[in-house]
Amino acid sequence: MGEKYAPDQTKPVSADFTINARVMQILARRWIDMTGVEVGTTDGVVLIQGRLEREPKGWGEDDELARERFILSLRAQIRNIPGVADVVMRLHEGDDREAPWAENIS
Amino acid sequence: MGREHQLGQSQLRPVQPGPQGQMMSGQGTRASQVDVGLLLDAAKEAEKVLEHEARTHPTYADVRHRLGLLRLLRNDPAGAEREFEEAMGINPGYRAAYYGLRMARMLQGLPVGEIREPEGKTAPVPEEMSWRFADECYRRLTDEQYPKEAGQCESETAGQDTSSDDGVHTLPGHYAFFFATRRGDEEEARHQFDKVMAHSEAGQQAFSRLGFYPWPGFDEVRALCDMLLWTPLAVDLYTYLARIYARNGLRDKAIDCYDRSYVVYPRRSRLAMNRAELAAAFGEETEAISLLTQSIDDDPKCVSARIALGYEYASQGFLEEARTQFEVAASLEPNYADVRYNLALLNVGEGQIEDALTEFKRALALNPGYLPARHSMGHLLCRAGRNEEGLREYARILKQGFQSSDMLVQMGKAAMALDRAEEALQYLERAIFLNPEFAPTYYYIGQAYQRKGLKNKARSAWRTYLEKANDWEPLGPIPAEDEAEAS
Repeated sequence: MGEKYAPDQTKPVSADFTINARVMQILARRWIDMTGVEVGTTDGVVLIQGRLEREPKGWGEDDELARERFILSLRAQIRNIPGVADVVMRLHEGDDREAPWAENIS
Repeated sequence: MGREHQLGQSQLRPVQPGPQGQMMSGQGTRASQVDVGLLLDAAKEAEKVLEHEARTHPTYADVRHRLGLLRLLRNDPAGAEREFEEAMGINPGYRAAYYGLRMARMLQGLPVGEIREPEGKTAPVPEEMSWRFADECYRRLTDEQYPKEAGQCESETAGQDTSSDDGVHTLPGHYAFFFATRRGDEEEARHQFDKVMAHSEAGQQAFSRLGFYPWPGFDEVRALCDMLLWTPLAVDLYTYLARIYARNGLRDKAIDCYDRSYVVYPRRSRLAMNRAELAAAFGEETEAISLLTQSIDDDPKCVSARIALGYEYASQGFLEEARTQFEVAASLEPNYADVRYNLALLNVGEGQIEDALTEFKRALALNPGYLPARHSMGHLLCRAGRNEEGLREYARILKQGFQSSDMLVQMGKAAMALDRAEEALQYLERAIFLNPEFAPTYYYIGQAYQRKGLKNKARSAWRTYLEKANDWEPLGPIPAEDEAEAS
C-alpha cells in the first residue's frame, strides 16, 4: 500500500498549540479546577491527566452517573474542536489536595 | 463593651438573595457553557455542598476553611471558630485558617493570644500583609484603642514592598471607611470614602454597582456595609459564591459577589480578571480579552492573567500575541511547567525543533511526571528522525503506567524506522487492543506485517484501515490485491 493512502500527515503541527489553548478554554469555561489537571496535545490527540473537579462543585456532582455524563459531554465538546483526532483521559481521584501555603506540611 | 466595639453581629450577613424571580432562570446564557438551573441562594448551595464535602473528604482543610468563612457570613462566629480549628487541625500550617480563627474569636470577644501562629512559609506578600492588616484592625477594635490606631495601620503598610499590586496600598482606605462607618463617624467615613473613590475608576464602578456611589446617605451606607464580610479572607468565599451564581447563569449576581470581594480586598487586577473569566464563560471573548488586558495594565506581574490572555489569543489564532504573553509569564514565573509546555508547542509549530525540545525539557525538569509534555517531546523526537531518543521518552511514559493507542502507533512507527519490525508489531498490536477503532494503527501494522513477509495479514490490516478511516479519505483508488503483493 503506497504512501498516498497513508493517514493524513499534512496537518500543520502549529494546530496542537491552538487546540491546546481551546481545550484549556473549554475546561475553564466549565469551571474545572485546573490545579490538579495537566493538558497536552500531540498531533491532534488531546491528553488530559489528573482530577477533573469542578470549582465550585454543584450539588450531586459526586454521583457516579452524573460524573460520567459530565465527562462524556466534555469529551464530545473537545472532540468537536477542529483538528482534534482523539481525546485521551487519564483521570484519577484522590485525597491528595493541599491547602494553600502549606508547603511546610508533608 | 459598647455597641461600637461589638463586631460581627450586624455587619456579618449573608449575601442577599434579592427578589426570587430574579434568580430563577438562566436567561441570556449559553447553555453549552453555563449550567442553567434553579438557584435561590448561593450561600445555601455552598453550605450544602461544602458540608457534604467535609463529610466525604475529611482531610480537605480548605473545605473547612471555606465553611468557616461561610459561618462568619451567616453571623455565626462560634461555628466559624469550630471550622477554622478543624482546618488547622488538619493542616497546622494553614495561615488563612489561622487568621480566620483569630477573627472568629475576636468577634466573640474571646482572647486570641493562645492561638499559635503557624511556623514556616508565609502566604504570598499581598495576602499575608492584608490578612495581618485586617487582623490588627480587629484586634485594636476589641482593645478599644480604635479609632486613632487605624491610621497607624495604614502607615505600617505604606512603603513596604508589595510589588506592583495595588491591593495592599488601597486596603487601609477601604477599612478606614468601614470602621468609621460602623462607629457612626459620618464625617470621617465620607472623607475616607471620597479618598477611595478618587483612587480608581474600577473602584468607583464596583462601589457604584453595590449602591455605595454616588453617596446615598449615611444610613444607607451603613446598611450596605453591614451586608459585607469585612475581611480580605472573604475574597475566597465571595469568589466561590460568584462562581456558583455564574454556573447557574446568574451573571449579575456573580458580578455582585466579585464587587463585594473587591470592596473587602481591593485589587483592581483581580477584579478585572474575575470579570474576564465571567465574560469568557458567557461566550464574550472580545470582552474577556479587553478585561484581561486591563488586568495586566493594573498589575503587569499578574502571571495568571497573562496565561489566560495567552490562551484567549491562541484560540483566536493570534499566535504572536499569545507567544508574547507566555514569554512574559515565563520570565515572571520561570517555574510554571505548563507555560514552558505551551511555549514548546508554539516552537514546534514554527519548526523550531531545538527551541521546542529545550522548552519540553524545562517543563519536564520542573515536573518530571508531566505526561503530556513527555508525550509531545517523544513525538517531536520521532518526527525529527531521532527515533531512538523518542522511543526512550515513550518508554518512560510506559513506566509511568500510561499507554494510549496514538502513542503506541508512534512507537510502532519509530521502531519500523529503526528496522525493528518485531518490536513495532508488539506496539501496534497493543494499540489495536487498546482502541480497535483507531484507524491509523491498521495502516502501520500492515506495513509491519509486510516487512515481515506476512502478506495476507498486511492486506487484511490495510483493508481494515480503509474501512475504518473515515477521517482519512483515501487519496486514490483502493489498491488491488496484486498491488499489495507487489509493494
